[in-house]
Amino acid sequence: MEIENTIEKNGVIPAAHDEANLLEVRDLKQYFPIKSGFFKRTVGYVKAVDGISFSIKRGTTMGLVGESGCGKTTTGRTILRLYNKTAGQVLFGGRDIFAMNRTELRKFRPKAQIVFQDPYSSLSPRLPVEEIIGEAVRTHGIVPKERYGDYITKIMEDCGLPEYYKERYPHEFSGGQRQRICIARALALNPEFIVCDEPVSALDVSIQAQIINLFKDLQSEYGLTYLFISHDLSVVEHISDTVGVMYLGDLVEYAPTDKLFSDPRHPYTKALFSAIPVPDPEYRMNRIILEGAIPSPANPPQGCKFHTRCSECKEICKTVAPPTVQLGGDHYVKCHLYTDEKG
Amino acid sequence: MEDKRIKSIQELSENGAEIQEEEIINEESSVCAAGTTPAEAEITPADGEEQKLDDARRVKYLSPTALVFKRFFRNKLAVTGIIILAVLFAFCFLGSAIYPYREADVFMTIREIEFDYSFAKINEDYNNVYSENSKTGAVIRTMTNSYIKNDMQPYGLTEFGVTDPSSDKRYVIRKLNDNIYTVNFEDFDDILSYKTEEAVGSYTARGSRFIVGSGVSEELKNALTQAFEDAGGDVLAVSVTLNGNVYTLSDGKIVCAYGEPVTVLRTDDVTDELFEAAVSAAEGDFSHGGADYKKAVSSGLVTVSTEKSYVDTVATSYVFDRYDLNDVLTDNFRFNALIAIGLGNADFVSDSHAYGIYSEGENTVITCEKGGKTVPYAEPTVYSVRRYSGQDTISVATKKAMSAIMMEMKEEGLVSAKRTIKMEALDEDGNYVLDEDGEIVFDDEEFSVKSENKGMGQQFVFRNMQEKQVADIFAAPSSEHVLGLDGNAMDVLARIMYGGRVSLLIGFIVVFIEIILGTIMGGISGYFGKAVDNIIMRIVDVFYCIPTMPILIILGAVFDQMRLPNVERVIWMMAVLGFLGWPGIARLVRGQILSLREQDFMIAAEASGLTSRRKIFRHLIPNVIPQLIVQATMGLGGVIITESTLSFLGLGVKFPMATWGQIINSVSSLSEMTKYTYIWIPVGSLICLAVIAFNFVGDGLRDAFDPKMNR
Repeated sequence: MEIENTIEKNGVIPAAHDEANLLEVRDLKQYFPIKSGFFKRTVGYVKAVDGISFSIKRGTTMGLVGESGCGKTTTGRTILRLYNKTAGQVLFGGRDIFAMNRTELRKFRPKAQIVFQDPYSSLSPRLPVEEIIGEAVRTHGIVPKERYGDYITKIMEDCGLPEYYKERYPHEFSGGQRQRICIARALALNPEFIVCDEPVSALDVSIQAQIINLFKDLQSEYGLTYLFISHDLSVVEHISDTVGVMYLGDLVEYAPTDKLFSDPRHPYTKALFSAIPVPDPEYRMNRIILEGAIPSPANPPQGCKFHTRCSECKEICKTVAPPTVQLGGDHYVKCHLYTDEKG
Repeated sequence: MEDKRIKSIQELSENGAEIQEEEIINEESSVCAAGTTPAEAEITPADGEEQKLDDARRVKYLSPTALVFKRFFRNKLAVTGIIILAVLFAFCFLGSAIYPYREADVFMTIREIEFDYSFAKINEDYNNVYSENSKTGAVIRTMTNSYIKNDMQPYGLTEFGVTDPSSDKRYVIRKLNDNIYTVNFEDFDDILSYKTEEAVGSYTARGSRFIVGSGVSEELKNALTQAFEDAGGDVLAVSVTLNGNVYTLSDGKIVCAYGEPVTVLRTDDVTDELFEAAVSAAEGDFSHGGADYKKAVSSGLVTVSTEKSYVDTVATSYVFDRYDLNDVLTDNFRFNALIAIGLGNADFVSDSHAYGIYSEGENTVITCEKGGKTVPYAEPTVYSVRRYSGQDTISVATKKAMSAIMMEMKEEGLVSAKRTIKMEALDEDGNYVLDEDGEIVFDDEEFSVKSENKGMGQQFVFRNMQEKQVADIFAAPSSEHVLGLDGNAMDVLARIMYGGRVSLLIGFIVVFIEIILGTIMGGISGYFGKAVDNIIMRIVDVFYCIPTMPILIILGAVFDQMRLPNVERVIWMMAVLGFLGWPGIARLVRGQILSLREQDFMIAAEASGLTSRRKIFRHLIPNVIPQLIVQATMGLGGVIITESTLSFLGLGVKFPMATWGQIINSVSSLSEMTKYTYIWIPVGSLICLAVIAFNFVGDGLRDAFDPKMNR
C-alpha cells in the first residue's frame, strides 16, 4: 500500500497497467547491507537504487545514463530479478516478477536476457561457442531437437558469426566477436526484453558502431525491447527512444530522447550534456563543471541528493527531497526548480 | 613438417589458388594477433570454393584442453618430468614383473667361517648307569655323585652306607676303582619260617558256664569242658594235651602249642643244621656256618631271613667312545662292562653277546667278535670329547688326538692354541673317503683351541673353518644382484621395484582422496556461502591446526599395537593422509568458486535460468579443474616424501613389504649408511627424481593452464 501511495504522490506513472508497456518499474529500491564486525552485523545500507519508477513500451529502447556508481547496472540486474529487491514492483508484461514462484520464474527467464559490459568475463572459458549459445536453448526447449543445430546457426548468422565458429572457444575471439556471442546467447532464448549493460563500453569505436547497428537490426527483426545502459550519451542518443538520467540511485530526469537532448531541464542533466564532445576544433564548449565528488550512496545527502553539487541550489533543496514533476509530454524531472510549474 | 607444408602449398598452387609461399611459411613462426593462438594451418581446399589466405576457416582452432596439452609439451622441463615418471612407472610396474627376484626373497651364500667344532673336557663327575630292573630311589640316584665326591673320596672310604629317607631302605656305595663305584641295594630275603603255636578256636566262660566256639573238634571240646570243670572255673589253669599238642586257654582264644614246629616256608638254601640252629637260636641275629641270619618271632610265627646285597647302579666317571660310530651302546652293555672292568674281569657277557676286555697301561679296550675277527668295540675313558652340538660323531682317533692336545695345554697352562690334527676326510654324505687300497684318507685340519670355563668345569673348545650356509647380508653389487643385497639379504633392486609400486600408488590414491573431499567441501562452501561457508571454513581451520606428523606417528604406534597386517596398514595410512590433506584443496576450490560465482558468465547462466546442477558441473567445476590438477600433481611429490619419512621412521609400511622409505630405513644406522651406500643412494635418488618429476609436471601444467601464457 505504501508503494501505491508513493507513486500516487509522485504522480509519474499511473498505478494502472498500460498494455503498451512491456516493463513497468514502480518505486524500485535496492539497498545493499553493509556488514562489519566479527558477527557481521548490518551497520548500514548502500542505497544503490533508491525508489525509481519508469516504463518501457514494447519494441522501444530506453537509455539509462549516469556517471559511474549511480545505480544503472543495479537497476538493470534488479529488474531481471538477478538481485532481490528491497522494495517496489517490477511488472513484466503486467506480472510482478518478484511475486513469481519457481516454475513461473523459469518461464520468465528466457524472456528477459542481459548482455554485459565485459565480453571477456561474460563467457565461460571452458565451453565452445555452440554450447555457450545453445545450453539454455536446450534447457528451456526453445526449439525441437532436430532443428537445434540449424537454429543455432541462424542465430549466429543473425549476429554476424559464421557457422564454423561453433566449435571454437571464447579465448580465440576478439572483443567484438565475443560481444556478438553474448548477444547471440541472449537472442537464442527468443527474448522479448534485453538489458544491455554498457555493451559497447569495452569496445573500440568502429566495433561499437557495428554492435549498435546489430542491436538496431535485431530490434527491427525480432521486435525486441531494450534497456540500454550506458554512460556514453551519444550512443544512447543514437539508439534510444526514451532516456532516463540517474544520479545517486534516483531517476532525476526521464523524457523521450529528442526532448531530453534538445531541452535538458535538470541541472545535473545539463551539466552532463555539456560534456558531450563536439567534433569541431573551433567550437568553444560551454561546460558546466560540477564541484566536488559524487556523495556516498551509503550516506546520501539530505533533501535533494544533488544539492551538494548543484549550481542552482536553494534552501528547500537542502531539507526536502524534490517530487517528480511532469513538464508536459512525457518529460519528467525531479527538481525543486520546476515544482511550481506543475502546480 | 616444413616439407609437408611446402608440398601441400604446391598442391594448392596447382589447384590455381593464388598463394604467396613466403607468407604461409612465415605464418608458422609468427605469433598470431590478440585473441588467437599460434595456429597450425590446415589447408583444406573447400569443395570448389576458393579460400582466401586470411579466411578464418584455414586456421585450425584448438579446444582449451588441446591448447593446454600443446603448451605443456612445449615445456622442456615438463616433458622431462613426464618422461622420468613414465620411466619410473615402467621400472616399478613392468620391471618387477620381469625381474626374477621378488621383494622378500632371501638370498643365502656358503661361507667359510671359523666355527665351533668340538669340545673336550676331563669328566670328573660320576654318572649313573642303571641295571635293567633298578630299584634305586630318586634321592639316592641324584645324590650318588655327591656321596662319592664329598663323603667318600676326601676320607678315602671304599664303602659308604646310606639310607633312603623316603623308603628307609639301605644302600651301600662301594668303590671298585677310582672311576667306578657301585651302588648296592641291601635287601632282606626270608629263607625260612615256621610256626610253634597258633590260636585254633574261641571260648566263652561265665562263672560255671563254659562254651567252646565252633570249628573245634568234638573231642577237643569235650576235653576242654572237662578240664574247665576240673580246674574249678579257672581258665588259666586249663591245659589239655591232645595228639602231642598242648591246648591252653588265654583271653577268649584256644591256643595250640605244637609239639614240633610246623614249617611254613623253607627255601632250598636251608639245611637241616641251619633249621635246627634257627630253632634253637634265640630271637635276633644269629650265626650259622659263617653266615649271619636274623630270627624274628611274631605270635608264634618265626621268620628267619638272610641279608642280601646286589649291585643296582654303577656310578662312573668313564664315558664310552665307540670305534664304529654306527654302533649303539646300550645301558645294559655299559652296566655290565663297567662292573667287569671294575672287578678286573677279562671278559663279560651282556645281552647274550660276549665281549673281551684288554687293558694296556691306562687304556682299556672292549672288544667284540665281528665277522669272525676280534675288533675293538668301545673304550671307556675319562676324556669326554664331543661335537659342540653334543653329538658323539667324532672318531676315536680324533678324540684321542684332541684329548692329548687338551692334556698338553692343561699341563702347559695354555688358554688358547692352534693345533693341526689329522682327521678322516669326509665326502659330501659324511662318509669317510677311502683311497684305492680301501684305507681311510686323512687330511690335516687346523683347529684353534680355547679354554673355556662356563660354570661346568674347564673345557677346551676346538674351532675350525667350516662351510656354512648363511644369509648373504649386505652383499655388494654383483652381476647377479645389480644393487647388492640389504641387511636382510634381500635383493635391493627388487625391493626398489616393488617398493616403488607402493610409494607411487600411495601418492595417487591419497591425492585422489584429498581432491574428492576437498572439492566437495570447498564446492559446497563456495557455492552456498553464508553459514555453510563459515562452518566448513572453521572445520578447515581446525584441520589446518592438526599437526600431521605427530598424528601419523601416534597412528603408526597404534597400528603397531594392533598388529595390523601390512596391506591394511597401507590402506589406513592412505585414508589418514587423504583425510588430513583435504583442507588445502577445499580452500583452493572455495576461493576459486567464490570468484567464479561473481563472474558475468555465472550471472548470465542465472539469467538464462540454468539449473544449479548445471551451473556447478558445467560452469564452476570445469573452471576449477586446472588449479586442481596443478595442486594434485604438486601434492603427489609431497605424499611420496611423507610416506618415505614415515616408513623411514618405522611407522609406515612394515618389513618385509617394501617401500622406498622402508628401504632407506634398512640402513638407518650411521655406520651402515656410510658403509652400504649402494643400498640407499639409488633409492634416495629415485625419491628425489620422482618428487622433482612430479613438480616439473606440476609446474608445466600450471604454466600450460595459465591463459596469460601465449606460447
